Amino acid sequence: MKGSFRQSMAWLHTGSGLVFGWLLFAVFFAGTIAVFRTEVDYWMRPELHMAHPGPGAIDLAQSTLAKLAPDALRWSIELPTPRSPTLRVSWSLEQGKRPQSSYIDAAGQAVVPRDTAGGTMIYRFHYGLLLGLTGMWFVGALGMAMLVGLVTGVITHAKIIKDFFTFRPRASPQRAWLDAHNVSAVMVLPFSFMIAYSGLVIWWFIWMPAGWQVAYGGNRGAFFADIAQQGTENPTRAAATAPLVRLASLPPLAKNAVSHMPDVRSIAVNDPGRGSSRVDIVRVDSDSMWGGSDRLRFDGTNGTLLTRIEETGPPWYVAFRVFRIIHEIKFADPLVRWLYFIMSAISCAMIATGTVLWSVKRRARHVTLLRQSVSRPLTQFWADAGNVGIIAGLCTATLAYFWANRLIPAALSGRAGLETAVFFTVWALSLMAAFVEIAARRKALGNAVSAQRVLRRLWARHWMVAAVLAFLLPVIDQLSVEGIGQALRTADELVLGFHATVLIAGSAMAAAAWISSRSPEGRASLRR
Amino acid sequence: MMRMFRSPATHVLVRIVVAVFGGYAATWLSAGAAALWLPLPRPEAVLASSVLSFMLYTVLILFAFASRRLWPVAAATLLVCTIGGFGIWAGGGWS
Repeated sequence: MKGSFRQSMAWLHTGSGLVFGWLLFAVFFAGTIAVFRTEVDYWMRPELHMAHPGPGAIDLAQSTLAKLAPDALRWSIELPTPRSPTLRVSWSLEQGKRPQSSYIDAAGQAVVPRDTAGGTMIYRFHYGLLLGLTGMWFVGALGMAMLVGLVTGVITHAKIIKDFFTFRPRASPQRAWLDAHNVSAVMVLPFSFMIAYSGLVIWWFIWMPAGWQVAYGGNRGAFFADIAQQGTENPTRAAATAPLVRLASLPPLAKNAVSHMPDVRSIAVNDPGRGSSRVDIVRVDSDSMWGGSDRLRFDGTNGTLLTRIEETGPPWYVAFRVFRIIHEIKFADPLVRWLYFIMSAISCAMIATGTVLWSVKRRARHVTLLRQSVSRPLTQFWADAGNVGIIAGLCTATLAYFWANRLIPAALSGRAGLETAVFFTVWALSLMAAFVEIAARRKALGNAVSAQRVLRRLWARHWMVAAVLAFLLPVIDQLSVEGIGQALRTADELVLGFHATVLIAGSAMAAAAWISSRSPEGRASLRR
Repeated sequence: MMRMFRSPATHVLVRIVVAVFGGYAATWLSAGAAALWLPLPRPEAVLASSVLSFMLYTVLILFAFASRRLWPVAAATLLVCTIGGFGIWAGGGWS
């Protein structure tokens, strides 16, 4: 390229930021919420905010399954965990059919929660934009763009340490935005590197499939069979019935029977009630980031331990697994989880300030041209409208999604799809509203000072809408399902924590609205 | 032909194509060859080359935009493609 190495890297940084910035923001935003996907799933199923089975959960699950599906091919039990205190059982009656499932309350009654897309929808948007394989390829390209953006950003800002201590909010707006972009980027630089790279590695077999395509003759299944732990075959289904051992009496379960069973995640039973029954118990070390885990297999008729398969492997298998684990944080304790949440939120701010910086820079040039009485087209402001609609609009859309979860009748069929539709409709409407406002005030955009005022008012209004939705969410929760009241009575940490987080985020949105609404006339750069 | 590349828009477009698609092809071929030739058990070689491949892709993209002239970029990308392709052919990967 023309110019120095650093100039061409700066060009690449701006260019890729321009093309990918908005989608990258959306993916990071969804990823930030996905850190607490399970908790959001729980909040979005208020029917499950009840007394949950305690230490007797395994016995309860076993007796329920024995009643509901005594002759199933397979049972599985998901035990309560601190992140998801529900007890869920599922069973398959026919080979190849989707298993049926049910939640169980403390009294052993089946509970059917509302049909919701949950935090899982946001998680799926994070990795595939809800567009299947095509969406995953988009996200893969975004991951590469993120990696390129980070490397070129570091090269562009050679004085990275010095810049970290430089924040000049009262200097020109462009300087202030640049400083905000730099400070947030340097703060989370190692984190965003790690997230971008590990995100790419997780699905290497889709995005960079050369390895298995070449070395395994294009047979992906053969490759995965080769790296999988040597499995244990299930015996053929016995015709003779034999009573199933009491699951809670199996050694790893008995050990934890009194505590909240932190290590055992799930129990699966093949051929329950037959002579061929096998019990598989998956254990994970919930408190370790690296998530040591193993699988124990018992004979279901007499409770003898048959095999123990530890999740381990050769060095590169472990390396791949570590990449997955540090991206997905399946096993982190609450402190690490909150750190991830905060660092991804700062990464969102880094991307958002980057896209805003781009249009602020353009506007500075626009103002110079205006002063020279060169008339400029309205297109200068489309990027501003896009910034408002994408960034503030996504916050509004997510909060509207939570509102929809409480306001759409619980019994309505197809309501999960409706919730998702509300999310995307509100996002699109925010974007359209921003464009309409820019178009409607195009007369005011001819003058630098009034253009600034229009844009500030636009930001302020959109942040205000988002903040109001956030502040009213507890009210909606209380009016629709008496959620807050019940959570306070039962000290439901998950529900209260959800609302506290939304209120803190809402305060940040209100602060953004307040900062935007302050008079633009005080800005030194515009009077100069 | 060369004159066409002097137009700034075309020049940038060619660079993007070389960086994104040329870089991807070069990385794909190298990862494939490495999966066959790394002195590791086969599944390990596949994982190692795939995990590291994204670094190569990043470097190739950066190089495509960092170099002043276009032809060294095109030559280097082609060279990596050729080495990778030869490695796959020699390792029997095309069969």
